[in-house]
Amino acid sequence: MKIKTLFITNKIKRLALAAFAVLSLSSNVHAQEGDPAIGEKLFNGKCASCHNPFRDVTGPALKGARERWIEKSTEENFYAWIKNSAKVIASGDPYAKEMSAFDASVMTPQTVSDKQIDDIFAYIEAAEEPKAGGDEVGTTSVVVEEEGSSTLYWWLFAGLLVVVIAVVGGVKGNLAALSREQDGQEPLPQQSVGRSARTWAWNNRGWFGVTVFVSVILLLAFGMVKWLDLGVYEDYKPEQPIAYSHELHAGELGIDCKYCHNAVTKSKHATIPSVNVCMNCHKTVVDGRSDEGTEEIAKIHKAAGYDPDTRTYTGETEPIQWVKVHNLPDHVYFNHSQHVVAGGIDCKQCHGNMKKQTVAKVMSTEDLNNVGVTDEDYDENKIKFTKPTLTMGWCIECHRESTVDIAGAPEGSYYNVIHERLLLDKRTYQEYLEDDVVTVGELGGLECAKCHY
Amino acid sequence: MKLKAFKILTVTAFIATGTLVSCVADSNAPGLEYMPDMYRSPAVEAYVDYGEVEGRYDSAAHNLVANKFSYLPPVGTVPYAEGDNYIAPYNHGGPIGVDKSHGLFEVKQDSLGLENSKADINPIAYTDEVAKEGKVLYERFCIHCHGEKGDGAGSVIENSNGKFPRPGAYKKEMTAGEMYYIITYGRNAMGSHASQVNPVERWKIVHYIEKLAGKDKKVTEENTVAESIVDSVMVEEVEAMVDTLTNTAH
Repeated sequence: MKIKTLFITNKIKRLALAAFAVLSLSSNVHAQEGDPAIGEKLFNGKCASCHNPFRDVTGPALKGARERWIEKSTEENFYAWIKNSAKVIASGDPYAKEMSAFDASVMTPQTVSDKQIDDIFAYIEAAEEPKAGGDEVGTTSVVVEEEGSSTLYWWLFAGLLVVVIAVVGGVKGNLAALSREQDGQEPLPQQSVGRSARTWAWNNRGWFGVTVFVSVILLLAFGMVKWLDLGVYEDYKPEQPIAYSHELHAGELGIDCKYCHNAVTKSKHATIPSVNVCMNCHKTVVDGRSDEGTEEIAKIHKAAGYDPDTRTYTGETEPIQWVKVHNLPDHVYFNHSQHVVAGGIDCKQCHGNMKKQTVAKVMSTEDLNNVGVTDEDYDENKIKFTKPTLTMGWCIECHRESTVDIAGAPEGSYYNVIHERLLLDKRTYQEYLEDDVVTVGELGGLECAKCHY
Repeated sequence: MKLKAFKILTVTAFIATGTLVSCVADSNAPGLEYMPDMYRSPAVEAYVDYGEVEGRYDSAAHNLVANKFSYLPPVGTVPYAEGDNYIAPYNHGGPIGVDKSHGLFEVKQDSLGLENSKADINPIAYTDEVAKEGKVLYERFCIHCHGEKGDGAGSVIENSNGKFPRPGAYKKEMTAGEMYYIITYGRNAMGSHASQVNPVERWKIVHYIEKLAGKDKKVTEENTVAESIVDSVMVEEVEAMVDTLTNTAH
């Protein structure tokens, strides 16, 4: 809640700043002299790494900076500051002193002429703030799917129906008894529920038998299907503490998978990035593409102990409890680095096209086979699967088909040793002569103890 | 009677549908496990702890892991050595205020750190192989902001609508030591990448950046390690330490 209010004050501050810039534009003579087109290039090359026209980054927002200098100091000092800020601070200018307290880092002296400064500020004053709203192309808003509650309604509905039928049945029975009594007939003999049910079933034995038969068959078939699903985790896509979007980060922004999951080349785990990796960008990127996005980014700041208003870390960190998605049983050993580094396998072979996903998901066999077929983000996968993902059959399928490039292995590596050994193993050598390739399976990739120990 | 039969049939049908619907995939549920006691590790595994100790749920064990989730790696957990390359501990402290500006709380600060780092020489010899590895690492860790040519036109910058500041083009004047320093501690908008790339990888990336900045890079054939930074005394110390560790282990 506190962070939310901070954002609002931040927004108001920016609005006020923008309004001030617009108001003061009319009095700005120099800005019209510069060439915004040249200024844009200069700005991107020299200033953009620390300054933004509209908001404080490492340096303060630059829109209206000239006016602020004229107001609180002199225009000469404005030019002098850009060329060498330390000199202006040393001269004892009060506004320079105020500005030097903005950030711990000192502004690097810039080798620019007065004309170039005019160009740069012509660009800055002419620039329009990009909208924070979601009207741009390819905006990815993260939608949290709501399922599960609908099944509850189905059960309630079914229960209600049973109750209604029972009540109607009961009322009907009472009415029938009443009418018999009125007609002066003997009331039907009282029966226990079980006995009456049996009588009723016997009376309607024709269709009752058929229904029971069909139900039993259905139940068996259903049980069989569920039995095959045991230990299959396809399409598992749990809600995460932060609604991260792979589609935006890996897809649109083009960040490599291994930038965040960097331990994938070094360890058993691909690792979920620690929050400092998020902060490499989100220290500066405070606004999301939508309001929801901004809220999600605020969660990162909270976890990292970062105050976006003062742009400093407080040190009060919090854990982010990500939900692990790809779970293997304890009796299976899997190592990412072995597959990625030694095997040279692309992430997409097992994880599919994450550029089209929000949070992590266990891909289905179909998803993996469709990579590069239904989309153009990647090339097609080398190995096509038939078994459900994350099952043993699936692993084995790939171990059987994947070939090992023994000829291209570096000299003195383990593969050369294995190559020598192949010549001694008649059966494998025969297999090699038949198809001219050595598969992972032939190198022992199907041995139980490779993964189960 | 016919009507009653119809009713019963409807009820059965409803119950059957209800059962079927209830089993339709819920994306928040992983699925059914076959023998959970074989699936779930009693020892703590990365990111997942069921809090189960011999069949009993132990909330203390569960919280112990939950409270450490997604934290910064402790200082010193990135190894100093990779293969045969020993890299001495980095002795230049971070810039003043790096705890507040970049969240590096356990790092010592030194106002002269950057100045002193400029004289550092890349201890990794520039060979063909290093050049190739440097390119791969650059494309993994730097390219999305700094761009293919190192001019600051990366995909994040081009597609984020000005939300992330554009880094300047690599400068020829910058020394290898300074580049290494910046990768280690971050600078301005750039965060510290020390947790993502180890020292050896950082020096390899520095080689590639120097190439992008337009420096003359000559490939040397022999894989020598520059003496100036890898203190031979330090190497001996590390080796002695490893020896004592292995000796005590036996």
